[in-house]
Amino acid sequence: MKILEAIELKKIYKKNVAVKGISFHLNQGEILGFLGPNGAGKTTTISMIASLIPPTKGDILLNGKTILTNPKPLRKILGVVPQEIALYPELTALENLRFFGKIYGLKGNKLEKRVEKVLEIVGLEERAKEKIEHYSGGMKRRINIGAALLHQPEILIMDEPTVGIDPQSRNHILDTVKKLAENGMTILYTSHYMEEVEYLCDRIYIMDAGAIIAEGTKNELKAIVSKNDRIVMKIDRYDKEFDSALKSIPEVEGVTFNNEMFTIIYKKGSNLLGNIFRLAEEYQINILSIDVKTPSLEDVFLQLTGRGLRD
Amino acid sequence: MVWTIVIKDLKRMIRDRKALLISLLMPFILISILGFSVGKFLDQDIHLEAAHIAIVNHDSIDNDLADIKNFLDNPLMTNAFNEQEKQEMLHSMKELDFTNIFLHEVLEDEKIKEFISYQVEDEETAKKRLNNGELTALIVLPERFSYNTWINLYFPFRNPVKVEIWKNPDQELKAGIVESIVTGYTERISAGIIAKNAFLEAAIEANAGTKSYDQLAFLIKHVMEQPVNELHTEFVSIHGKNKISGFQYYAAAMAAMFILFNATQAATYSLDEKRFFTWERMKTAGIPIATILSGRFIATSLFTFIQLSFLIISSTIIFHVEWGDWPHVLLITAIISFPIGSLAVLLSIISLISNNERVSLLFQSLFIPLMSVIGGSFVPNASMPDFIKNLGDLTVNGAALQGYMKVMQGYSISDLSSIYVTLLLFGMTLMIISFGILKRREV
Repeated sequence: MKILEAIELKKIYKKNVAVKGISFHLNQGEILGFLGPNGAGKTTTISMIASLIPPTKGDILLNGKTILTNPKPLRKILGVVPQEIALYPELTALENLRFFGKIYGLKGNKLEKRVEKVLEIVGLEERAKEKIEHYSGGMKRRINIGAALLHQPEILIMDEPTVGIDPQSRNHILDTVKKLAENGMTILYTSHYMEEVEYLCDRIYIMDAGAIIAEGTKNELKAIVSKNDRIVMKIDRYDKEFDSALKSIPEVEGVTFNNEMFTIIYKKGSNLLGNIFRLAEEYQINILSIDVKTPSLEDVFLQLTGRGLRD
Repeated sequence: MVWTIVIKDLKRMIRDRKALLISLLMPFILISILGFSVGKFLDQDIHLEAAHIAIVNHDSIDNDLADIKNFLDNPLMTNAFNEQEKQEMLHSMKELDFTNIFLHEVLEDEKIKEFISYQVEDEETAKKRLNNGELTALIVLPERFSYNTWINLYFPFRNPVKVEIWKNPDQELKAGIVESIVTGYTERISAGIIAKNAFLEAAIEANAGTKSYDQLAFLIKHVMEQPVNELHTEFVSIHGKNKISGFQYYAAAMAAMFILFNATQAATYSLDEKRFFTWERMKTAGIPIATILSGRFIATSLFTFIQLSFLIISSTIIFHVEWGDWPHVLLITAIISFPIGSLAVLLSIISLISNNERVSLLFQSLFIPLMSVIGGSFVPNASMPDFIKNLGDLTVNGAALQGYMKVMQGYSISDLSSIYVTLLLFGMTLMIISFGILKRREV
């Protein structure tokens, strides 16, 4: 059942079109993923849904009713976890949570119970009385999520909630998101980390340059690249001409280079390995390792845009 | 909801070490430095040495009397006045020897003698002494001084009379006092002339012009007795008001100056909220901008009140500064806090709209020092030109300083009403401007 729906949403800043008339919906109880590189328009889309900025065109419906003229019903049931740490560094975690709880109308015993519960959810009960400025990046991110959970929202929007944190905190956050969804919360999760979206989300929208370029379940999206295979190859040095030569092979659909690794998407059944070894010899490149893998969402993005998610 | 925001803002302000350093420690240090150094000069009584003046007298009472007698013997006058009237007039004029009155009754008045000593000299010698800096001023009584003044007083004619005052520019203050004494004397003579003119014009209108001359001598004598009797000079302080010490002055001046920094600090907090996205978190919770800014207004006003209270109490304990009647001190402190809250809101709005700190930095680095100088935070602005002094008294810090000083001097609440009105109007104007901007521009 659709709980939230965006219709032809468009946002133009002066001459820059940030979001190009996108439509999507959020079903009750699901985790919906928004996957796309930085600058794809994910945060702008979220800001429009959270009624922080008005769309230039289009509409947003909550249970079939527009919220553009009256955002109050959505605000009551919406929690937003911004990409930035939206907390007061001079205040303790407890003081931050109490403040944002009061902002959402909680008070007295109810407020204290919710603050306690949220601290338990994010696993920071022991450090609650410390100032945020003394927290690690991961702990800040967890309280940042906690502040959006205080009023027990039905819908939670999370904008890149794991940017710049250690793997342990990241795993904690991902587990928290899973648990929240299991308890019936509807979540819109944006990220440029393919693995997170793949791990968490039931349905995924892939965004690039302000537009939705693909949508569906994980399997539906992977089917886009089902006719392809992927080679991941580690080399001793990067050579621009070698990169161009790989791209010029007729069977190759896309090539990216990241962390000394080439990822090559190519038509299934092609005998590409022979060509690769020949070119490596020609350009005097040493291949340190080579693997043939099944496609991921990253490959879907690569296939659709010709670029990697983190390019 | 506003109080939730106020408490949060106050916590942030109190925990901000840099802001506390500026708002509490800095003024305290400056009070001690300025109080011990510049304040000492303010503590000294003003003591003026006697002013030495020279009188150059070109007038001769004998010549004047001879001239006025000739004038009265003129056929025109002979027709107008009989011999008895002429004699009465001459007698009355003799009594009004203006040079003699000036020298012996004005300059030798007991109080004036304490300040001015004079010598009658020839013009050349006197000017030489003035140029050598030996004299404070030189007064030149013109030829036919009494004669022309009598003509002006007794007859419907107007002869020019010019008393010259040459001042020593190195003794401006003392020369100014001499000038005002001379001016006071000549103004009294002018008052007599004006009274005569009014009397005669009224008499002519009533067709009693000729008869009025019978009473003119009496009128002139009566009017001219006034200046001599009333021209007293006394150097006294304002009765019942306390003198301000250097420490008192700088305690009030620093307190008045440093509250301005609270407004820029509040603007920085607002911008930080936007940068940290806590502003957006509040907006997504449906908190109106007006509520957020109202919280900022109250928090800044309260912080200012706390800051001023701290400075008042600590300066009382450590430097023994006497701030005056405590309920009155409390009242003025509360009133001063209001425009600072308003200024904080205005600077916050401008910073949020421009999305940078330039405006508050400009205010901090340019306007606060400027307002401090013209408002008298470094040296009393009474020594500045009137225009700058008046402008300075209209600034928040200037009005606050004036207010505190008057409370220290023991003035009543009603005596300070204009200062209260200035501060409240200032606060309200800033609020109106702020919400006017908010209506037109999206923050």
